[in-house]
Amino acid sequence: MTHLNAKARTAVIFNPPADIPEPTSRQIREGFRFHIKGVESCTVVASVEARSWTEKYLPDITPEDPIILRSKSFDSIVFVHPFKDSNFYIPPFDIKPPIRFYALDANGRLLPAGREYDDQDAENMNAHIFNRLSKPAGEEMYYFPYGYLFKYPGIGPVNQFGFRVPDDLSDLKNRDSEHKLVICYGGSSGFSMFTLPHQMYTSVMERSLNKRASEAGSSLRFTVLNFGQHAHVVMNSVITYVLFNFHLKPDFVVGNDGWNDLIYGMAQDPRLFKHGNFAYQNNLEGWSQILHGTGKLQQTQTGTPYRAQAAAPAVLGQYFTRKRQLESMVRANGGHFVWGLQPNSTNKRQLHPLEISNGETFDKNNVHVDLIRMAVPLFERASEQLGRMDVLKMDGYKEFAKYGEEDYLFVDPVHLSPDGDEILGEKYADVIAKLSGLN
Amino acid sequence: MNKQDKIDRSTGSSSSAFANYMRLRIQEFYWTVCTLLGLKHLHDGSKAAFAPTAKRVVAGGAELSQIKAEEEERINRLISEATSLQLSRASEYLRDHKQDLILVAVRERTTPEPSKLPSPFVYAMQ
Repeated sequence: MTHLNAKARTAVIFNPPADIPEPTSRQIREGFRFHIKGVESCTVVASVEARSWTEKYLPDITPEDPIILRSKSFDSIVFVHPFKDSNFYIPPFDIKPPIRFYALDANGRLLPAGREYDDQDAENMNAHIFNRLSKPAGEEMYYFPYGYLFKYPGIGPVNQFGFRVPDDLSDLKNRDSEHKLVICYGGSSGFSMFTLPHQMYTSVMERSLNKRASEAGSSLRFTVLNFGQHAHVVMNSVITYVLFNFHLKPDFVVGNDGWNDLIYGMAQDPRLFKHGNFAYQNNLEGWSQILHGTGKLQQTQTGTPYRAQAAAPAVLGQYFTRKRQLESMVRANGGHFVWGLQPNSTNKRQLHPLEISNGETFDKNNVHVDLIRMAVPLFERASEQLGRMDVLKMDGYKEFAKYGEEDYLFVDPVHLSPDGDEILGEKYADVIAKLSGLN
Repeated sequence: MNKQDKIDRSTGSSSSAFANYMRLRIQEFYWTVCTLLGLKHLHDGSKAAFAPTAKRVVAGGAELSQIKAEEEERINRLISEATSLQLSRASEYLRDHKQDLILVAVRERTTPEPSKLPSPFVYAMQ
């Protein structure tokens, strides 16, 4: 992952725009505290204009004047850069190279600034052959024999397969009966791409369940692992369960999904519903073109924005069928399966002003925008169908409908803010606590 | 209660969302019929939904009427193929939805060419 070297003499320059929203300010503060943890020498720099912000959000820190950048040497400099269209603070003099530059964005994520990703940003990239053969790039999908792997550096540690879990899980295999293992699946929203490790809904679940057990005087303890990954559909969760989790015999498995199966499902070649009943990420058709030199042949999607190709019943049918398959595997392996339907902002009672402005930006740039509009009735139908099913469930789509304009829960139509993850984690904890006799 | 009412109430969605839903159903049916009849030159399932053999044009006036006539002829041919093969339900459905099919096909042909696809390695959902 992109991270600050603990030994590097580091300066963090705060120069936030005057109109920076409250939730963004809070997340920048969280990101700052997370990324400088362990850095031995860190100097906070703020111009006079930025002092009111630092006094409000970092009251325990006394910032230095930017002039210190001229007199003192630094190995790393971090620019707080909340918006893509805002400018870095550039001190009015040369900074002596060599210095590694970073940016801290609105989501508390640390990124290379003014340079490409390099080997120092990469973590685990020599762990196995498919990591070594991929590029040291920022966020992207890369080849793996079973589906694909995904890189998303800068928001916390990931293991060698890109999941937000420790590399060594062997201790969990022979855990005692009081130690309950919960494994959660999903796409990028399940990965919690806009939250730091302690803010992930899985971290919220773990804290909440252990607190409830402690308060109830129970000897139960819980470990909750996040095996969500960008763009995963339920079929990817099935593969992940088989590859990485089956031998751990998780006590609970949570499928926090829905969005990718429906949106990718609408975009894909409909024949693969008829003759295979599976959804896939339509961009992988481009991989086939590269592998086989068939770039002149058309993909299912011929341009952007993407257009719907498959009908609603086939798309929904695939989602529920594959989820039932995952449930069967989990139960046969001795676990409980929680049917989650992930929330999205299309059903929120009223949007927060920041959700509205983020949504407008999303609509301008996103290739799925038409599909998302068309998918609203499908979310409704999925929620209704889940409601009728006699299974362990948590309908996030329905649960989040009650929140209004005062709650900033979505960074875009599907990805949650830290406050959204907090609610989601507690909702799943409710289901598991009840099943564990903790309510 | 007819089918339309039932779907509309169950979704609780707007009429445009319902129209989109119906458009999907018609698209899938059209694709199925083309496949059944072996008329893949009309729709081979791997291309944009309708009339892929014709180049898209930004049309107006007489040109639009011409395209509409071509699409009507295309659907008529499909109906007669279905009738000759004694696929009575298919031919009946096509006759009932003829105007919808023509409308969607004309719109498809008169929409400007879409822009290029994003990199296949990029996560495009954010």
